[in-house]
Amino acid sequence: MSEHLDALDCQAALAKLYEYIDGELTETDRELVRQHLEMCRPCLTQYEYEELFHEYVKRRAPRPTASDSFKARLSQRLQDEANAMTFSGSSGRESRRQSFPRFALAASIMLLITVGAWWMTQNAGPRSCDWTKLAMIHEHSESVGSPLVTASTRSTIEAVRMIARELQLQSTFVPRSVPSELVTHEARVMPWKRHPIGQVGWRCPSSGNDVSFFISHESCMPMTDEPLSVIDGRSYRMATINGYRAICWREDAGYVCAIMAEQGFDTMIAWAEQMRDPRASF
Amino acid sequence: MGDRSTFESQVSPLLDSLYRTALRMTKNSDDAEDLVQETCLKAYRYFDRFEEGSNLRAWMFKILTNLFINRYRKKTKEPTAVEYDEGGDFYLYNQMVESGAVSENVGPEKDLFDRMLGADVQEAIDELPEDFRIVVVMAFIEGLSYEEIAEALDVPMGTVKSRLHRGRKMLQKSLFHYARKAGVIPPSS
Ligand SMILES: [Zn+2]
Repeated sequence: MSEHLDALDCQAALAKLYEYIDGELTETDRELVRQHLEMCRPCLTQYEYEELFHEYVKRRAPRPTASDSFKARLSQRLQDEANAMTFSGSSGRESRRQSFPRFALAASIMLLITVGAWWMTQNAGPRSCDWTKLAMIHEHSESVGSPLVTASTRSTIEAVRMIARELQLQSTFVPRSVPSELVTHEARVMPWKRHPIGQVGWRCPSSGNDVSFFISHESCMPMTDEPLSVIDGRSYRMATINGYRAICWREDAGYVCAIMAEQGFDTMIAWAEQMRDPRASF
Repeated sequence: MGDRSTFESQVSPLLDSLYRTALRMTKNSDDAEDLVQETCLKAYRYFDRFEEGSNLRAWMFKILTNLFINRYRKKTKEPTAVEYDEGGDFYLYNQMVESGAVSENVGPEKDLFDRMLGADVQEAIDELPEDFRIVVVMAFIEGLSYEEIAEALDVPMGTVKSRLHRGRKMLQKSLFHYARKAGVIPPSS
């Protein structure tokens, strides 16, 4: 072992060994490790083994490449996307769909506008909201991570209150209790233009599935189908949000909650019933 | 702000790397292609939010990782709270010294691991728990820096370091066990 001033002892040198191999040390540290290895045979041997192992893994791990046909397909998709974006002048998400669904989409947007107009006469202030954009924002927020609030350790009630505050809602749905199968894992508010939406996420540890509920305006979560179930005059309907099937229902204040129905609708409705408490307010 | 007209030329050098990582994530070439395609489309749509001059590779890997976590991981049932048995530091070296296969003061020959382990490295990597597998692939195979990995996974650098450290140990341990099963390394006395 080296007796030099500032020099590393074996323990300190070995602690930096992997970073040394990975080229992640500062110049000073790298030099210190190098000096130690030069003077210490046991550490040098250890280093040589680790370095060789590193090389071995890199050499033996197969390095497949993406096929040319895939690259060509991808290039075509990007071109389509570019055309669609030029065509629609915006995100191009809806334009990626086939022409028939685009008609259907146009029809539902028309419907939405109608519903939204009706809604505005019933409630002061709500803004209409294109759910395809909402879904995109949601997806984007998940993929590049831009939540305004993330609260993985907060309790559900606290998370819902926080989101409601964030959204400045007068009144909304507060879960009375959360099914024991679910663990709260995140709460966030995501902006969409001037229309923020809130999301509380749960995880079901037994299945590994995520479920979410949103606090938002109804026009963001259009209910598309006949009621799946009616309980105490409350209709649970299905909605498809960016490919996810969800159940939606209306609360007194006009806000709609949706839960990703990966568990099957019956389970989701049972959970929703267990959680909902229309009397609660902020 | 990224310029969409240059998107494809900027991203195409990264495709193989993204694809390989996706392949080790999903373990299936169809899913890997879907994942890369979705990653590219998403990146393309949001390219105006990409800050020109910042690290495109880390940004692309971040989108890839998040899509994988949100889309594909839900399908698999990976235990989350398992204590992984990863062996001690410098596992391979210590085991080899113990088994008498190598001497403490003599450096290894160049082909030592090929000769002794020879095993299927890919299989051993695929067996790593997901969190460790992703870090090992990004660092060892794709050569991302700790900082890039931290950005891609949205975790602190310290987490990257410790996952990589533990991933190495697990990899060494499983390769050592393959070799022992194959009889290349004699059973310990
Ligand atoms: Zn030493």
